[in-house]
Amino acid sequence: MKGARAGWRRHPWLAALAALAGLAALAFALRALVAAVMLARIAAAPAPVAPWMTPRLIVRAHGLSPDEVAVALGIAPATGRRTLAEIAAERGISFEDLAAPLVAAIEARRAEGR
Amino acid sequence: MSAEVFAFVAQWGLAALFVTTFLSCLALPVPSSLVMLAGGAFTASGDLVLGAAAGAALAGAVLGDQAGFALGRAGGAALLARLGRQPRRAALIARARDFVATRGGVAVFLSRWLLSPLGPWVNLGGGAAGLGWARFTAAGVAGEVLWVALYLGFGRVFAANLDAFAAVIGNLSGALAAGAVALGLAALARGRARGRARGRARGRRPGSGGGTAGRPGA
Repeated sequence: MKGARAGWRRHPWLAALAALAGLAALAFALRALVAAVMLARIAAAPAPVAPWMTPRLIVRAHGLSPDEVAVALGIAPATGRRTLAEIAAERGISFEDLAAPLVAAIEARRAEGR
Repeated sequence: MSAEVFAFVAQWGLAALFVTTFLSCLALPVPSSLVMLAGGAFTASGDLVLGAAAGAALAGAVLGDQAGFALGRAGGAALLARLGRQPRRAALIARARDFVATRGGVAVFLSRWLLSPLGPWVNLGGGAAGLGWARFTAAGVAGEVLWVALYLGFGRVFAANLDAFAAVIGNLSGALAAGAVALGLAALARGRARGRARGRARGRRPGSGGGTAGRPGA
């Protein structure tokens, strides 16, 4: 402790940098804690459907069957790795229009408690 | 921003994992954690094959580490030699070299996964300070295997809530790295104060030829 105090006195610029790094660590830790609380709160509900998601990821995250997702999106079940944004662009419709039947299927599944 | 990163991984797959992990080891500001988490999520969904994703990420990371180490060795050694012309700096550099010689392997291993924001700087510093290539490589590969396993694993587990989990792990990683920097700076200040105190004590010793405190009758 004595050595540390002597170090601070002799090298104030090092002390200032260390204090700054310590504060940054504290701020990051606090943000991590808040993020962890948020994650715990939403853990039961998967993230909403987003343009970057693939049909397979929707299957995985929302527990729908591959057929249900394929029907909702109007695609073949065994499609390659394509995002919803890419599928919407291929079909010449907006992401919102593409996702609407999928969101309805997810909500129906949730309502059934499946 | 995270949505664009996830879309980038969905579009480019294994190439995204390889290029991002490679560039992240050279201190370039690329979101490697987000890319790895997305890679993990896409292996869980079956969009990517787990073994191939792990291989691509590991290959990029190990090659990136080697490139950073080589850069440090090529440019850093000359820089340290120039800086070392000043006696005070030379002492500091000598201490840094001692640290690398005794604890360099541990620093490399921990900075791959636990303190990953420090990784690129440890690559450059290790190369510049003369850390042995075999030791660097062994510790680096072991750490990268752990990092790849952890991040792909987290991505698989939290595939349904990637964004929310990325916020937790990103901030936690920042807290650990900033904490390590704070402790390192504190240790440096303490070490320099001790070195000065030791130097004074030597000067006080009778017959040492230096200082005034040891003069008879003083």
